[in-house]
Amino acid sequence: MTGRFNKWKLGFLFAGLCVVVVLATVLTVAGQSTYSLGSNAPVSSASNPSTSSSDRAYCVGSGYLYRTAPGINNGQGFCQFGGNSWCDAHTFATGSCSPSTYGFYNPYGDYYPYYYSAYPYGQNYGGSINSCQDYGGSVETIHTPYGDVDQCVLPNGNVMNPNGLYNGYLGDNWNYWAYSFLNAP
Amino acid sequence: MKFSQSIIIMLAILAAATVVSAQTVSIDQLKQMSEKSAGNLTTYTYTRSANSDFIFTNASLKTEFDAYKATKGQVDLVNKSGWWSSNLTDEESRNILNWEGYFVGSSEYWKQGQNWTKFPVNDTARMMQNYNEIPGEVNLLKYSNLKIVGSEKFQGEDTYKLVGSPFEFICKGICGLQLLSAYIESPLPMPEKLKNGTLEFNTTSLENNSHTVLTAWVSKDKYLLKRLDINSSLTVTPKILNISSPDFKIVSTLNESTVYDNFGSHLNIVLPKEAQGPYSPIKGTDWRWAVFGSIRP
Repeated sequence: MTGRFNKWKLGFLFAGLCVVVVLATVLTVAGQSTYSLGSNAPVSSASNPSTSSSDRAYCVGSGYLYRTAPGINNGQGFCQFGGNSWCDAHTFATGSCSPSTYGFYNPYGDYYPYYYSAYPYGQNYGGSINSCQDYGGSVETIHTPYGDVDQCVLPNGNVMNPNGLYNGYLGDNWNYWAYSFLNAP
Repeated sequence: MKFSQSIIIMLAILAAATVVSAQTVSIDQLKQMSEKSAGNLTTYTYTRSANSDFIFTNASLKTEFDAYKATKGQVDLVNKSGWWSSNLTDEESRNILNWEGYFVGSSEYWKQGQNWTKFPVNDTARMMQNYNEIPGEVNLLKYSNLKIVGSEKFQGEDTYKLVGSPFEFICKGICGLQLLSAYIESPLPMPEKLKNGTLEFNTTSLENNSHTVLTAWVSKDKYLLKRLDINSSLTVTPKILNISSPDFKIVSTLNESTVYDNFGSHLNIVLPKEAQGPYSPIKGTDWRWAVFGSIRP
């Protein structure tokens, strides 16, 4: 009787153990994934020098923002209007340039005030997305303490900045991100 | 002890060990599950506190800029609406700046000070992505080297605690942004190489003098990101930049902490009456916002 009981006990324990091992195996199936990285970077620039304190005064006096930024207007002063439009401060003061629109619309119809600096002058938001998609990739947003930036994740797992892909620039992301930030007027 | 009893004990020990190991999720599993959860969100709220500090020193001066930013927001992916409100306090002057944003219907509305501005939006899906910020934070975790350092109760919920640093390309990006944001209103002149965009990151030792540490709390039941802290610091000198210049030093720190809550709860994001206009188009914004990033508050 005792022997039979022990056999039953052993059988139950063994069955229970099997269940546990099967469950554990299922739970521990790891969805391992690897991320390989690429890098790149465009550089934006503009032209049109010449400015003076009177140009600055005219810009500010007209209710606009006078700014300088290394990648815009060759580092010369420019007059920033409500959105992503600007004129060289001197050409604005002489009447050769005027505020056009507040901000700009990308090909997707989104309005982009100048705060959206991830795609500043010389860079193409919609084109960048299209380039990424043309390569079979998808655009992912990555949060940083300085704002969100977009990256193109290619089917092979490589990660590139979409604008670099669009422009064919290879280089360093730090440059792209940093100067995007800096060039935001 | 009988042989059969020994076998039972050994098997029991093995089973216990297997169960314990099965309960420990791998970091890659956790990344995948939190990414999946971030893709299935309906509504949530968040609060973010951030502190930015710059200390500028050279032979003749030592000045500091210190600012604190508090943000709260609501995201409703079901009704395609969102709201955020930020207060920035300049710790030196005690000036407080306010910025508020709504995404309701097919327009975005911003309020800076007492001025409202309306932005028409054609691609509302894209704008909703901008407001839905958890996927971006989860992506930061995805592209980071993280370790599960333990389990913690956070707001009464069991969570995994993760610590680590972003992959190199993100670190470089953050480092570059931090470097340039330090020069927005710096009393020190910006180095020529930085100004004209010819500074090569690899010729500098910026990477060795910058640190970005992430700490995240992910819920054990639904793999939802509950909290993310980002602590970054950077030191800049002529030697670090590998440039010839009179000696100077900039020490920059930015600490940010975001807490997500009220997942799946009912939200009622209503545009205030005064947001209906008349509008006073914004003519530039205060430079201090850019210290915390120029894309969004």
